[in-house]
Amino acid sequence: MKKNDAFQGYDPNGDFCEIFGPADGKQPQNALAKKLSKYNIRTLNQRNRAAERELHNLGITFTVYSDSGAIDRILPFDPIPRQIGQADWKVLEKGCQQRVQALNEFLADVYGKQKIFKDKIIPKALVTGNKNFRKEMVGVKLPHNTYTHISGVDLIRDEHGEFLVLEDNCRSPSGVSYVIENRHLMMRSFPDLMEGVKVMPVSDYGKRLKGTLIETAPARYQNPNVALLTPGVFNSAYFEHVFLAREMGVPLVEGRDLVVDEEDRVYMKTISGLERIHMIYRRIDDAFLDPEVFRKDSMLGAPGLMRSLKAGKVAIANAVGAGVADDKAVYAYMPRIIEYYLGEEPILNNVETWICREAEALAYVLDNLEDLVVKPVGESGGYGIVIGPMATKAELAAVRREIKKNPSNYIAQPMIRLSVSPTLTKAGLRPRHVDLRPFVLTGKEPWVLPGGLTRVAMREGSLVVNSSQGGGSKDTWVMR
Amino acid sequence: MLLSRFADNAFWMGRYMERAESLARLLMVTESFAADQESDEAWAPILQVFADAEAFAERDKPLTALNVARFYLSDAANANSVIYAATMAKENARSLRHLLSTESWRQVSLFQKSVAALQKRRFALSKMSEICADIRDGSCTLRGVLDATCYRDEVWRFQQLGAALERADQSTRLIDIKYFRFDREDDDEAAPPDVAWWNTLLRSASGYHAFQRRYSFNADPADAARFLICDKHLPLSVTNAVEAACTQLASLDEDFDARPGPFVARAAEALRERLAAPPARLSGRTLHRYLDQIQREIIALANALDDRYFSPA
Repeated sequence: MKKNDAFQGYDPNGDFCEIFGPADGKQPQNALAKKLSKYNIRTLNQRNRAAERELHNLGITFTVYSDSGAIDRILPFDPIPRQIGQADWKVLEKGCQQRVQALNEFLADVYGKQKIFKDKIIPKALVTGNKNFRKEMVGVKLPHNTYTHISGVDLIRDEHGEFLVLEDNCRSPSGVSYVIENRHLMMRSFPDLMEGVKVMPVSDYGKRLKGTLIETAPARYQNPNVALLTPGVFNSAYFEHVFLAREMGVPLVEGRDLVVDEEDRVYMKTISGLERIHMIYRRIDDAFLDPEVFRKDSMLGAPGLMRSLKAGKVAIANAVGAGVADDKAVYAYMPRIIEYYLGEEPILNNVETWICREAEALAYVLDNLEDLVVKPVGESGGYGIVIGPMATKAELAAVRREIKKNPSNYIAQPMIRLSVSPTLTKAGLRPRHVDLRPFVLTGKEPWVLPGGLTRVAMREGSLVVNSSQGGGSKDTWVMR
Repeated sequence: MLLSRFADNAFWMGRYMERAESLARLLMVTESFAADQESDEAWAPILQVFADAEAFAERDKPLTALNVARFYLSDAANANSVIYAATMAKENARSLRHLLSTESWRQVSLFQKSVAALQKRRFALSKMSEICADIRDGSCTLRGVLDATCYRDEVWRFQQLGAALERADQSTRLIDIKYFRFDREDDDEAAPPDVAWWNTLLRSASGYHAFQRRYSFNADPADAARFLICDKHLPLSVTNAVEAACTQLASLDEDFDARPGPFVARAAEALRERLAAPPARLSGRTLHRYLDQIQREIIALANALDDRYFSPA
């Protein structure tokens, strides 16, 4: 490497690198790497600051509310794209389709005939006793049996370069607006980096989403009216709601804009009176959707939505109760669920998972606690996770007691070294850990957006990519 | 069809944008006179025109030019301040974002940010006219961006409607700043504002040169009042603003199937008739009362709009 090379001092240190491959492998000739190495680090940093300023001005932000008013923050942006080769992508695409198809069949079954319990593939109590299971949905038929219309599959890549599923998201996975806006930003701010590279486009997501929603509206309506239901401007994902409503050209409604009449029809209040709604893409939780059925104190939903749903006069995406499928307890059974419904081997493996409610697995977990990551089921957002190699003796002892007391409440996984991707720092390009969330739309068939949200842990050595803990994002290039 | 809530947001986005700019013009006029008089008294009338004397007193600060100026520029708790208006314009726009052009949101944001930056600055009175001119320019830029990029749908109509009504209202206040006192005094002709004051007012309403072209060189203050209230072609005149509002109402009726209905139509017609028939003598108490009647009719129209479009049963 010559002096001033942007990669000077770059060392993945044993981790799998998204540009250079496995640590022990040969460094392939990579066109992007070649291009990047010609840049001056100061220029890159300058342009990146300008790009971040533009994100702020364009309002591609999440909003934090405090006593002193609304503060608009951006998700830190890293201009060095994460690349996925076409061959890798083909596998990811098929794997995500297969997984989401299985999730939908599973949901249709647990809210339908419940064959999977009779065949003893998964314990019934684990599903119907889950807090995200909605008994109100049992026996309700949905168009095309689609429950999770919009899904996010959280993937990580281990030190050998294998993509593994870390988590499924079947409720309201967010982040797709960043996938598209990051691409727009790259095209505006780093056109030279994109010159001559063949990247699959992501910009027709809005059109696809609208198509999916129209396809899954109650079949009796020829030209269904679609609306996006948001909790409002105070929601941290409000920009994404704006973005999606804009891309689809549909109204962004709040619960207070809706009324359900005595014949179970849903309307919105317009300047010319009431107008019918047939399909709702909701970005609020089940619990707040309909105070007639769920939380009585909800101001975010509209009374009567469940009545209308059951009468087949409105459809709701994602389906009420879809969250039961993305629970950590169910996740552990996903390989068996895929095999049961599709008769296929999973294309994408789970991270190896020990289900503590099973005696053999429990014994292994208790013996190897200090090497494992222990996760309580029924929680999300990293809550209650104990990372063995980083925990104190007292923490390990405490979690051991908890697991023994209630084994069904825990799963355990090995600690995975996430892959790294070159990331811009003041000192130059440095390896930082990344994950990947592709988005899957399901009407009749699942479709995967060629790209995804790459989150990056901006701090050196950190494995936590969450935005609440200093994570940022990158543009994700699926190469043609 | 547009949600009532969005119509409301668009209307208020328009009103608040216009209010921020009008306040800046009003502060400019006051400042240029206060500079001559070398006294803080020149600033007291603003507090009365906006009925803010009490709110200002609550701040427990001496009535100095700088304190009043800050109260109207950068006091976020004052509902009649530039910063409050700019922030409310942005918050209303936030609810509408998916219906606005991306360029509009960007500019609304930038405008609010530039005004908010004033809060952190300890500006001197000597900087006032520069600051106000910057605010006016920022607001004009914002209007230009909206005009150049917004789709002419119902959102646009309501936003323009709100801006027009606010402009009409604020223009009456701008004139009334020297006339509201006639309400209390017996003498109709107690020291009427001089030609210099009217000239400043005309300049702040961007109407000085047009007025010179339109009227002979020995025009008197009543002509200036007539020009600022009744001229059809001056953008900031009350009549021009009200006509602009009526154009939007007609478009909502004809192009968007959102008929204003009898109450809105009646209120709009009353306002138009009032403007078409000004009193013969536009000065002193007569002028103040006339402005007062116009303001009441603007409020009546705004209430009728609220009942018809924004607060559906």
